[in-house]
Amino acid sequence: MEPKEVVVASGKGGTGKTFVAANLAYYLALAKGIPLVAVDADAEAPDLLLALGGPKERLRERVGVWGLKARIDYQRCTRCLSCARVCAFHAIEIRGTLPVVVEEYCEGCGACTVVCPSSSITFEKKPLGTVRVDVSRYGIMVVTAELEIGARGSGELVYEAKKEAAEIAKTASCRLVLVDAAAGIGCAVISSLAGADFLLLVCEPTQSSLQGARRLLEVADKFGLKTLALINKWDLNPDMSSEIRRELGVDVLGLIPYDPAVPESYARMAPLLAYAPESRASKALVDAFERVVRVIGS
Amino acid sequence: MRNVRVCVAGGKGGTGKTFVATNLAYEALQRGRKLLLMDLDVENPSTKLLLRVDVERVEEFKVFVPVIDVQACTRCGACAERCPEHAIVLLPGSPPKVIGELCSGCGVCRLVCPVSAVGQGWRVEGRVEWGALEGKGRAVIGVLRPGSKRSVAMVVWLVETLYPTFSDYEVVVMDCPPGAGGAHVAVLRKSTAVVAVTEPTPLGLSDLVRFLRLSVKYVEPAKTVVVVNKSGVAPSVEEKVVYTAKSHGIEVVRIPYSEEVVKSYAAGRPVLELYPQSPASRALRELYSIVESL
Repeated sequence: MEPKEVVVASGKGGTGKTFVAANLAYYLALAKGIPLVAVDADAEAPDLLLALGGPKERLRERVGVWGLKARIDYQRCTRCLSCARVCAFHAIEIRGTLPVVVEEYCEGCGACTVVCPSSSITFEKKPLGTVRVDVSRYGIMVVTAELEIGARGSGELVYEAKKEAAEIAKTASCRLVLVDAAAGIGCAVISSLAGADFLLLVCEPTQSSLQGARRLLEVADKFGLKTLALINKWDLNPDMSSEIRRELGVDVLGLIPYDPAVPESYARMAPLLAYAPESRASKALVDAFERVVRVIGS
Repeated sequence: MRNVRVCVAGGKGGTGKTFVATNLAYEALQRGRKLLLMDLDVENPSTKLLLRVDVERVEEFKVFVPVIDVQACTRCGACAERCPEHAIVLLPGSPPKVIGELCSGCGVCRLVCPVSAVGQGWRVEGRVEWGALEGKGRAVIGVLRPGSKRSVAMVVWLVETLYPTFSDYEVVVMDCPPGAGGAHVAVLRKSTAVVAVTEPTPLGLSDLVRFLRLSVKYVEPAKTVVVVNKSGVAPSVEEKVVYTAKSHGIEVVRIPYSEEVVKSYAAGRPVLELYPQSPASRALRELYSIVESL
């Protein structure tokens, strides 16, 4: 049977996606015995493995995305500056009389080579991001997408990480792939949503979170995912939490209270359910997760 | 006063970048500075939720997409072959078809077409709002179209386009998205100072370190400040964060976690305005003074 895929996303950063994803993975794998593989799709700031206790064993690592970066041979360059004029990515600057490649902006498209009259431009391959597979300290398999600092290409990298997870799910007979998405609604999030079955939307009681959630739902709409929501730290602003429940148009399956045990669990790099299973937030998480399980039907 | 251009970032989402950026902007205006605030978190811009912006002008952010002139096209296939994104498909019996979502706007197709049959079309990928900030300063807010994949391109365009006007201001505050990627490079290249906002958790520290590895390539540690927001919720981790910053020659300002901050968020106004004597406000004023002196 094809494993189901659940994406944990939010739109706004800091609402608790990794917190929810880590605890959900822990709950499903350890309390419910559901074989799963987790994917950290927050390629510019990957934290899921840390939230699950850090790596116990590194299984493999590979370059997930390669980029091509332009190089100008100044011996051949005639200083015509056609390359700088044609670059759509601001990747060739004019400094004095010379065209200079701004490597971080270069997309490797080759437009500059088309217009260069002296064949002065070549391309060098550079790794832009890695895909790693680790077993976390709590025994959960995590596939991490990590982009090189300053790089672009998070969408393709997340796609590669999900492909890796799909292969693992097949060989290890996992019933679930759980994806911890990045903040925002850009390429990395779009790649996370593509091909998934469920979206678990994590909100916090702020206007910014509601705005971000609405923007995310607009994007997610095209993917036809069944959407569920949780409101994290709901008691920091109960009025706002009510507003979100009214306005979001999505089933809110759980309200998780603010709990000082949460930052304590982070400090110990342990899922809250492992560190403080009797805490208020843990009980609320378990309630919510039971509802999630019923909806997903695993 | 010298021109100060501050990148407000930090790696992890939700640490309080916009909270800090909007309060810094507010403080600049209180001190009578000529200020520009740029909201570059184009995927989820929140400035208007915390400060008053009177939008005066809205401009579309458009990117190039090829439009093929079917009459002129000789079906040579050069465009499809040379497209680096495989966004042009040439099937037997039909003219080349452009798959808009795959197109990165590089323009190679236009350059290689031997009969100039590739025209310049446009796709709207977002909008930019320009206006008055709190009636005294200026704000520019980038809003990406939901579904667009051009988040980084939009930030690069905004920074590169506005950069020539930076000298019109005494203070430019650039509120960045989470992460440490292409968008951040664009901002860092134009910054004279960095404010890296983090929280006292191992996740916050890990993302902060990633961000600082990037930012120090463009702005030296002496012109960088780490802000530990929600200070006090996890002292042992907080000390690790502070130690990491200081051991790299980076100054630290702590903003205590407090009810005043939560309430000001709920009220949609800066904490500096609603609770000017709170510990958070005192820390923010200290931060502002440090930033101006960098």
